This record gives sequence, structure tokens and C-alpha cells, in this order.
Amino acid sequence: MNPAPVPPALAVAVIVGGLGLGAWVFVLLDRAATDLVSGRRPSVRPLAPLRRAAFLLVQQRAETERPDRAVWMLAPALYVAFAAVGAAVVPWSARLAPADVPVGIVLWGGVEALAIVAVFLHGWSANAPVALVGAYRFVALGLCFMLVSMFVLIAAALPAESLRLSAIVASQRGLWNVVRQPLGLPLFLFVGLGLTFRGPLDFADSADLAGGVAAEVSGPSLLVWETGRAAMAVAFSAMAAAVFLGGWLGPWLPGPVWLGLKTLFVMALMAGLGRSTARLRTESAVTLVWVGLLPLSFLGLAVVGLEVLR
Amino acid sequence: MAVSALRRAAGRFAAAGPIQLFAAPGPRFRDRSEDLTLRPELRLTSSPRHASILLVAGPVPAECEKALARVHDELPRPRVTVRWGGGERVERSGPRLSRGDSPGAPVVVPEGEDPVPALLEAGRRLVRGERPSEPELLPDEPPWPWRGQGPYGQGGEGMMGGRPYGRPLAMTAEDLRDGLALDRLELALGPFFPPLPPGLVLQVALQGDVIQDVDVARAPFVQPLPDVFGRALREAVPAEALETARVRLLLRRAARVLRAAGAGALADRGLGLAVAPATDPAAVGRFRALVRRGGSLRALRGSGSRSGVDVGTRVEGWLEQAERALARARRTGPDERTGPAADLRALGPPFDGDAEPAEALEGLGDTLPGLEWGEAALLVAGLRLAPYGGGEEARP
Repeated sequence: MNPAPVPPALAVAVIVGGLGLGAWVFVLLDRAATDLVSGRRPSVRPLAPLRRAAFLLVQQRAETERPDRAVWMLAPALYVAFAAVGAAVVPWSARLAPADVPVGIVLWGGVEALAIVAVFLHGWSANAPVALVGAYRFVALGLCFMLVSMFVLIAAALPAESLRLSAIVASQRGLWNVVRQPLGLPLFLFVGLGLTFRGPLDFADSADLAGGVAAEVSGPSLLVWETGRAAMAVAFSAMAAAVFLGGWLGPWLPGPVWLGLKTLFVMALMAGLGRSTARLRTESAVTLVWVGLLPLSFLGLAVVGLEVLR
Repeated sequence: MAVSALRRAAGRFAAAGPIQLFAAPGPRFRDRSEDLTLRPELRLTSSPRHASILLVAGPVPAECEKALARVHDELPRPRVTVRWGGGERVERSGPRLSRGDSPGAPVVVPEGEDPVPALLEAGRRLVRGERPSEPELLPDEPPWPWRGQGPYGQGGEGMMGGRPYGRPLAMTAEDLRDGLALDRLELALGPFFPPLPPGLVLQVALQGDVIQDVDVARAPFVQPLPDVFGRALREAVPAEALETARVRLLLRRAARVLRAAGAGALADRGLGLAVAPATDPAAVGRFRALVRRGGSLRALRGSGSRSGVDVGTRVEGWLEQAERALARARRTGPDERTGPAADLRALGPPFDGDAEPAEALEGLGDTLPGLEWGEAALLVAGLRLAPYGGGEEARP
């Protein structure tokens, strides 16, 4: 049973509204996580993200020496767009799915891969050394995260016998994937930290490069970039909630509320993990992924495969 | 009309948020400007491009004014400079970083005063549009003119090689680690590059993010340690004061490394403990546990190990020493004094001369090549570079 198609206007409203609201909440969560880890009492200032946006709108867009102007302006927008495409395939309830394409999981995989390109282009097009180093470093590590992601997501798709997100959610009616495939969610969270470059995997916008990819960006461009980073964290969290935490499934409350609550939970995890850990060395990160996580994800996939065959 | 009204409204709304500031600390002002991170109404940015205030803290030597002007022009408009404790020269004759009659002339705060009220006032007025932005200080042109072919041309062949804009064109070269030929990127970092100690200028050659070659082009500014260390070398000092200063020093150093490693929130916690008037031993223990259990130490471990020193192990050592020193400070009576400083090692950090890499700056050229930039930044961020007190003390 596939959900009925949603009218395009409603789909766009759901995606833009959901991502916008989500990004705003994520910035607040991230601030709260920062306060908690730094030992301050968490202060909830709901207007703070909007004030930040207003500040960046007032600020000038700085220029570097001979940047690739078009790419430099478009790359952050591209990152936002990929977040929106990723969020679109997540079903909100049995009936409300903005874009429930038959290959939703594959589309998400494409979003992850292309987001790396957007981040690289952003750092490269500034024509400035530290941004370039951040971009190179990020792209060098991107490949290994993505492989982990693919194995983990295919393992979730196997019991559903479908690459469609709504089918994967429906297949968790008896037991959520987070229990059925205990390796899945932790591995996927690692991918998420890499995709949104936070905490242990902050190789793009990192402190040792004084802001890295975003070091030369200011004003409205920085606003788009920061929005993109928050939006990608939201899209990722919604995807994790749908694939591992049973998406819209749950008693009493309507489906979209359940999805929202579960997404919020993953967002809080991402913010907390991102703020409480230091960045890994590139070498240890690559070793960890190729020697540790990738075999684990493959093992997880093999176990699920045997279970399905049985 | 409508646009400018909208801009004013956005500015007024934004001005109630934290003020974004880039600090360029001079001699003696590294700790003080670091401490501004703890003020909730300010945000210290890692790049000048993200800030609207340039805080020039302390007597930045004249030789760095050009670099400072470049940082100044990197701040997007609207921008303002605040000079804090620039010494008599700045306070009497007005800051150099200005065109005297410009309406947006820099704000000057004397050394002894808290700069935060002036920073907030200048920043808010700027964002609200009530204060004009400072103009550029340097002409908008490449720092080195284009040099094409010819006797002074870039000197390469065809499109390869040479120094067309005063910088070498990226050319492939053998890599130190695996011999893979990659583009060699040469860049100068400093003197106001936040992960590095202020004043330090490193001329770095990178392939990917692996350092091939390092040259210390300028030594960091002198940042004297608290007086009590200098006095401890000459005479008996109150033991509690020495231990407390030691705790602060160690926590501050750990915080610097954590910040360079992207754990800014943890760094803030450590720094908060370092500046707290009465540091609570339990809080230091919790901080240590948070760093250890949160996986941060594991993430740091192995960093810089090629140089024979491991940043993670060193940070853990500092935190352990801090906890011990704090316990000692609690145990000592108010009248207890240190013995004569016959054995400096017995005085503990910063006198123990432990396995500090490149404590001498000249060593950096040998230590850093082969490391990833991320590791090198941690190593340099945690370096002990300051002499003990006064600025004139000999090193043990």
C-alpha cells in the first residue's frame, strides 16, 4: 500500500516549513548543548537564531582575491537544496509523504554523496588557502563515511523488501530497526556527524583552520551556509528517525507528531555528540572507518540478509 | 527608502544579540583576550570575516601593523576597531589604525579597564547603523603585483612554475610520507591566526593537509606567566598561591588545545575553571572526567606522536597535575611557603621541563613536518612559550 501522491504545493510547504522550523530548533538545541558542556546554565533564547540571521543580512558579503564567484555563491545554496531533497523523501505519516519515490533510500544516498561535492566546491571557490585545505580534507574523508551509510541503509531496506521509505517505516510495525539492527543507528549517527561536519568529524569548518571552508565567507552567504548546516542536520535526523526509530509509528499521537518527536531526539543526540567531543585526527578517522566501522556495517548487513533468507 | 528602513529594522533587531568580535592580541594580552570568550554577550570568531569588531588588545608592535591592517580589511562592513591597552602611544596620540578625521575612528580603552562595555556599545551602534563603518586601510589590489614573463616575470615555463603574484604557483612535489606527488601549497599563517599563539608567523608548505616544510618567520609575542612563578625561582612564596597559579596555567593550556581541536564548549568549561576565583576541586574532577569519557582524549591521542609527544597524553597529564596541585593548595595552610628553589623540578609545572616538544621555537621546523595540519595546530596551541614572570627570567 503506497500513500496517495501529495499535491506539489502542499509538498513544498511541508518540506520548507518542516526544514525551516527544524533548523531553528536545531540551532537552539545546539546552543543548549554548548551551554551544558561548557558548564553554563542553558539559556533558551528563542529569538537568538533570528537575531543572528538579521545580523548576517546586515553584514557585507566579503570578497576574496579572484574567487570563482558563481560557484562561491551557489555552493551554500546547493547544500541547502540537498538538505531539502533529502527531507522530501521522508514520509510524515501513512498518507502524508511529500515525495515517496520508489527509490527513496537511493535518493538519500545521492544527497549524501553530492553534499560532499557542495562542501568541496564551497571551500575551493573562495580561492583562499585555509578554505581550500578544509575542502580537500573533507572530500578525502567523505568516501569512507558514505560507504558505511550505504551498507547500513541497505540493511534497513532488506526486511522491507523495498527501497521506498514508507515501506521501510511500515516494515518496523512489529519491531523498530533500532532494536532489530542494533548496529544501524550508531553507525548512521557517525555518518551524520561526518555529513554535517560536527564534533569528531568536523574536518571542513574546523577550528584548527580558523573556520576552514567557511573562513572567508560573511554576510548573507554565511547565513545560507549556516542555514544549510542546520537544515542538513534536520534532514539527516528525520531520515534516521524514519529508518531506525519507526518514523510515524506510535500509539495515541498522530503520525507527524511521532516523526517530529523522534527527529527531535536524534537532533538532540547530534547536537550533544557534536559539542562534547574533540575532532579526530584524519588518519585515525580513516583507520576507524575502514578497519572498524565498515566491516561492522557489512557484518550487520550479512546478519540481516541471513535473517531475511531464513 | 524602503530598503534602508528595512536595513535599520534588521540592524536594531540584530543589535540585541551577541556582538561578533575578532581578537588580535598583542604582547601580554593573550590570556585577557581569551577570557572574553566567557562573556555571554560577546562571541569571539575564529575568522575576521565573521566579525564586526576588530579588538586590538595590547601593544601590538609596529612591525605587525601591516598584518593588522590586512586583518582589519578582511572584516566585512560594517566594522569598527577597538584598541584596548595599546600603551601610551595609542592612548595619547590616537590609534594609528585610522585616518584621523574619519567619523568611524577606532574606540580606545585604557589597559586597566574592562573593554566589554565599550565593545558592546560600539558593536551595537555599528549594527544598528548609528555608527559609520571604518573604511579600508589598504588599497584593494594584490599585495604583490602581477609579474608576467620577462626578466622579472614569473619565470616558469608556459603556465607552470614561477611566482606570478609573489606566491609560488602550486606544483607537484614528492610527499614526505608516501611519496605520492601532490600539489604543494605554500602559505603564511599568523601573526593573528587564532589557533596559533599570537605573533607567531609560520611559513608552511602543505601537500593535502600534511606539512612538508615549516619555517618560523616570526616568534610569538611575549606573554609573561603570573609573577608568582618568577618569584618562586628567587625566594620562598606562599605555597597556596603557587599551587593555585599552577592549576590555572594547566587548565588554560588544556583549554587551548581543546579549542584548537574543535571542542570549544569543553574549552570554555576549562577556561571558566581557570579564571574562577576559587576553583572547586570537584569541578576540576568533573571536567577531567568529561574530557576523558566524552572521548575527547581518545580523539587527541596519537596527535603529534610522530614528534615523540602525544597531545592527548599531555592534556591528560596536565589535568591530572591540575587536580593534584589543587588538592595540595587545599591542604596547605595560609602561612605555608615553598622551600628555596634549589630543585626546580620539584616545583612542578611550569618548571619541570617535561617532554615539551620544540619548547625552543627553532625546533618547530624539525617537529612539524610529516604531521597533519590538524595535529600540528594542537601541538603548537599547547606549547609553553612564555618565560617566567617579568619577561626577563632565565629558563631553567
